[in-house]
Amino acid sequence: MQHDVPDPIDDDEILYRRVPAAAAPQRYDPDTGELTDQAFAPHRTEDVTGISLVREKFKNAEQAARGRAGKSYYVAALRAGDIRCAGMSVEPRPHLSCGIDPAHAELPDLNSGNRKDDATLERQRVLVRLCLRVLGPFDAPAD
Amino acid sequence: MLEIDPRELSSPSMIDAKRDEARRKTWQRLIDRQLLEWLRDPSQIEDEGLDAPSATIIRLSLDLAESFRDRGLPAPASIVPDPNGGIVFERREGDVSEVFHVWDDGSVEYLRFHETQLVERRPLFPGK
Repeated sequence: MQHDVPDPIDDDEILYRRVPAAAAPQRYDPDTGELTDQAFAPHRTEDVTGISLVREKFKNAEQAARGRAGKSYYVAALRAGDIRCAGMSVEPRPHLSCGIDPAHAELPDLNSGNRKDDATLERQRVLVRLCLRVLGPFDAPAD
Repeated sequence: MLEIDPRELSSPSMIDAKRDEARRKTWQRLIDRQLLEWLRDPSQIEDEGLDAPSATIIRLSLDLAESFRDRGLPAPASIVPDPNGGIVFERREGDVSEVFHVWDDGSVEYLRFHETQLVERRPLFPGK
């Protein structure tokens, strides 16, 4: 497959945001079904170009949840068109420092540089409202 | 036999006392089960894209929680780590959310949201 030109993201595409399940209740509380806005908060160094999402078109929820060995993760599902309607852009970003992943996408409007801005804090809350469902938890196999 | 006037049980002062005690217990539960537990082993929070709060940040959050508990403030619905080593206290009532955010630099802010809109933001404590 050719990835030089990223495959555009359709409005109907489902995107997953991985949510660590460690030290519950944390970003998602399965008892109350509440997802906190911190699930969409950018990291100060790892989200320079935007927070990461995984495209369902290329990976299922369990694959999207894969993270550090021995840890558990939920995935929050969102629709690309809903994110765009809320004024945020969604970009395919298959080129990673570790190689190519056609499933990788980003929300450039929420990034390391603007993580404390009023608009970013509001967008985190908008994304919680746009969340269609939360799946999991999925356990990453131990090494 | 101790005589208790049933009206006393529902007097404003009795209701206030019960409410204060309930709040205090909720705060204490959050302090014991989360903040002290995180202080004992911050690595349980650490994950990909999620930095564990430092002992300094957890202690600052503990001081804040104990101060709020002792002042009888309503307990938060949640205390969650942010991805950068900070800690967020959040209380919700209807469409309004009140947040005390202990940032990774040790600064503390109060934020109030109406639904998703930030309607108030002010610093409570300067950071480094």
